[in-house]
Amino acid sequence: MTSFVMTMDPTLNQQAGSNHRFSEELQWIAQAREDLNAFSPLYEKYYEQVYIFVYRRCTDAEDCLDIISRVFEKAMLNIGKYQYRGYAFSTWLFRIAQNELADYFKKKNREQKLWVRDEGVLDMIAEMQYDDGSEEKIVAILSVLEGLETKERELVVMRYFEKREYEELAEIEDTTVNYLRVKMHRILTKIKTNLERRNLK
Amino acid sequence: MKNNIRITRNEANPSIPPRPDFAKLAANAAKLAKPFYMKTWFWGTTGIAAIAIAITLVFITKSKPELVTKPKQNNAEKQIIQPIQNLDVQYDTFTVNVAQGDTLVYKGCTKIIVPPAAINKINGAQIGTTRVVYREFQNQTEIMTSGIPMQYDTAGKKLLLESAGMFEFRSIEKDEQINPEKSIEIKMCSQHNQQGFNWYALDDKTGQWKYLKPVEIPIQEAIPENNVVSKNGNEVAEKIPSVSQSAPQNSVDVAVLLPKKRPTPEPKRKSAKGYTFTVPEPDVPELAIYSNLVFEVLPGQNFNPNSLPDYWDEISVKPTAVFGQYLLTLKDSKQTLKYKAIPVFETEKDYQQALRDFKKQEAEYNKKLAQQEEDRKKQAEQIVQLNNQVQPSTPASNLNYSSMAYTLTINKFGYYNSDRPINNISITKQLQYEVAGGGSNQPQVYQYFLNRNAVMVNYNYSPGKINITYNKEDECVLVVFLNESSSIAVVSPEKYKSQIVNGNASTIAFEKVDLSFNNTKDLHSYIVSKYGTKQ
Repeated sequence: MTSFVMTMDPTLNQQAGSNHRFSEELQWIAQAREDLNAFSPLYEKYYEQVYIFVYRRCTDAEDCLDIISRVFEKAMLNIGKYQYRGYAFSTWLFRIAQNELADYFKKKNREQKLWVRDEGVLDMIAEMQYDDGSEEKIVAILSVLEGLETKERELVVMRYFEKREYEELAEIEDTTVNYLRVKMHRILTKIKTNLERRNLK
Repeated sequence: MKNNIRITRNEANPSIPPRPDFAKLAANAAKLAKPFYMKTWFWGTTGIAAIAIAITLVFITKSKPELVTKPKQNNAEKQIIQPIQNLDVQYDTFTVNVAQGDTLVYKGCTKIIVPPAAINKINGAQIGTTRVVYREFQNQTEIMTSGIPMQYDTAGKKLLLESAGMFEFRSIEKDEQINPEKSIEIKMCSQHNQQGFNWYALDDKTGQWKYLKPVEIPIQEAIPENNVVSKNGNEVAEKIPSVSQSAPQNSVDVAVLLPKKRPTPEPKRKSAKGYTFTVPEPDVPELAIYSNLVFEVLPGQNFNPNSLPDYWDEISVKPTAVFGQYLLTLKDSKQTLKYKAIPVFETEKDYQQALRDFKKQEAEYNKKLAQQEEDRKKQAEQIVQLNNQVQPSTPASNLNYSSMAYTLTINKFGYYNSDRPINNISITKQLQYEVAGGGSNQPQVYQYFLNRNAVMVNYNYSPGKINITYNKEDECVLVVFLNESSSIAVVSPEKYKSQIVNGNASTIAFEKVDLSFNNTKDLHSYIVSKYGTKQ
């Protein structure tokens, strides 16, 4: 993965000036560092994505809206700390959203939503090298997912249900692709062991 | 804690409500952005924090340092993924007299020269003594089990590093550093005396190797074997056994290996419309057990028997890359023709006799193979037993370890590596792989070079699929770690060569090794005794 890190405005401006696929976005970011009102196009561009991201994790519609507002407020406040590493600005917003959600669940002890899709569960079944994707197995996997640690469950959701690439996940989680691949493998092994304990092979 | 979770299965994406007004949001953000010291929480939390810090300081100053498992604390360490935790290379712990300066000796060879006051607190405070940890990674197995990345990015190109030795050196205390005004000299012993190695440091921020300088290779001054204490008389925390104790691997002879594939093709009857040639004395040893053998030309070739002469000056066969298939050469004064052919028998009597000969030979071969496997297991067990008699901190690879020393002056704790990038590894093949007999394996396949001190990690890009990159000259063993036990499955160098490098296998089967390994040393001894290294 080729990546480069920009921490200072001049570099960001240079990148924004080049013929880069995120050049327009980088320009907005550079401007927003000077003036919060310049954040507006970023808000318009990414509101929907952040809304869906939060909605898939939170059951209370009103709380969802509060969290989304806080995500953008935090993004505006911390825009000076943003570092471009070759991915869309949304990955940084998702990272903030994750933190906000974690904070919300911790403080308010609210019900968490586990947003799943059958096709994602079938992908997991294939990766675990099982032959059949019976309803019984799908239900069992969902039940095992419920019991995983929050961080593990979140990785599964992003990888299998939201279909995010490892590179994007690494950016959101602020870690490396290799680390995530190994982590994911260990999560699947954990699920598989749990299924086998229930005699589901 | 019980999770409070509601599963929503196959829920559609929500309809997006109108965006709240941005101006309002920006105004809120602006309010939040007022200076921290004007906020009410600041004074409350500052007071609590001050009390907490005071209490913590009291405890810290009273408590003794303990060696704990290091958390993954920076990007460099996040890159380090050990396949099996208990196979990692162990640290040696030293007590250092920092005030007076100290010289530490690792494994009776490597010297760590700590000048007076070379380690201090991050806040600049001086210290009298401290404890440090040091370990080295000298061979492929240690590199593999440590999980340290060996890829080097230069100008967008990813190269594999071949190592002449790596080390990790750090203080046990997290709040200590190498004094910015001083430096520590490491004279790391190495088995490698070739030119072209450079020093690299693992960058804490990027997790990438960073080039430092070329390695200079002076001759190591001799260190008496009993010199296992530091200059100032501080005992090294773990005692170092003498070299003679740690030499199990040479005491075991490695048997000549039988080829795993059966040597002779199974006999076949001549097909009804097949056209055969008698080869007077086929120079093919694996067919020597058969009598009255003829070669039948395979269909699908430009072969017309009616246009051929009745007599040939020379008829010969030689094996092809496909097992059981041969290249038949027909020569006379005018022409040379070549056809793919298989050995067959024209009469039922000859065929039945050939079948008996084949079965007899196969039974003998299987018996020898079973005996060989038995011998191999015994050898490996013997090695493990011998290694268990040795003190745990000495790798078996230290036999020839003290001939050279590479010197590096460092001003930061961390990982350092004497390496050279390998440029010519360029052929990439995609492969499906499986472990024979099933079994859950790790998502990394290690390409263990027998002719270089290098290991390449190939990650699954989908279940059981990897990209292998190599050049034709290198000899490798492929290794996967099995989850449930500290065991491995391998692809032998012969199979690697024949099926991947010289063949076009799309699937490769790993064979399980019926041994568990308690430490890197045992695993290394096993690989060395079984496959040998050719560095």
